[in-house]
Amino acid sequence: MTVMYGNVTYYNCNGGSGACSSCNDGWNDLAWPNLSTTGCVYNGCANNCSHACGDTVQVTNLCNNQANYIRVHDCFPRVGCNYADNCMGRTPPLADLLPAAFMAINGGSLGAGRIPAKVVC
Amino acid sequence: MKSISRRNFLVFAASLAAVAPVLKGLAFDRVGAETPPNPFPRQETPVVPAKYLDGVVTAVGRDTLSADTFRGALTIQLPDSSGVWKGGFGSGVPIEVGDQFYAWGDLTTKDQFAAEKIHFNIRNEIGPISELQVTSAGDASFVLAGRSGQFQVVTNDRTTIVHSDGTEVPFRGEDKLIAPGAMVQVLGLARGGKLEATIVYPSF
Repeated sequence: MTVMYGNVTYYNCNGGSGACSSCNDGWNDLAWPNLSTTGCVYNGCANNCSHACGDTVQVTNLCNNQANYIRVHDCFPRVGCNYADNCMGRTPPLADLLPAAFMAINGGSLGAGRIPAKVVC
Repeated sequence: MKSISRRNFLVFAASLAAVAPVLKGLAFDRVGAETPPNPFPRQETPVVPAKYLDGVVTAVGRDTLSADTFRGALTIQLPDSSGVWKGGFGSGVPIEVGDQFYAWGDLTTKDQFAAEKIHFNIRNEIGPISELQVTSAGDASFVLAGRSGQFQVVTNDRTTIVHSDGTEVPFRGEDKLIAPGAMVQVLGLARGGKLEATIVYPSF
């Protein structure tokens, strides 16, 4: 198992689809920067382990210790490595969650755009 | 007699508890090839958290609203203002018909949802900025090429910016981290064709 520390944010499907399947803001899913299913790899910021569509990773919000297993459903190209969250100032970005997955580990809130996170994969 | 049996039972139970981990270890050694349970099981079908809801407002009441949602037409019981986000929690910006929302709470009956947190017209976009303009009051406006399109971003006196150590301070338009071409994440309220920034996360 690999443990990584950094932060996670969230994004909206906006009617689009993910690399693995269709996309829905209400799914407990995330976009992962190293997706073996499609061969997409954006590991310039952190050495995320390789995962296939349908795998799950464990994400813990370090601000409140809420944790959840979240399914990999998309690949995300990191747009910069040095965004800090506003709770602990952690970097780098590790994953992009869909709103439902983000809310589930953040007390139901979308009021912060980034949260510090531990990801186990 | 009764109390002796009870004591014997307690002694037996305590002994069993003490040796259980050892027995378990021996059993695992015997079946050494057995694979421990996968802590990260594959999940082929999507899961929607039971407490999640999104939709569009169709009518606004005093403490409730009506909405079209993926769970059907619902009446939503609003939390107190500290749980209502519209440009910030407790901002007091009125809820309107047509507002798009994300909520977290419980379905209390088949057509009623009690919200713990609810967010109206919230956007979280990230990308490069251009056409930066800064006012003498320190506010800024710029175009953000976000993931879901271009946004005209405006800041105001409630906008904050997050520094590299995680501190969040009031935004000032002259902040050196905000420059044309810079990568920026903006969380804010979509209103009137603009994105009113509440938190700006610059890339350092």
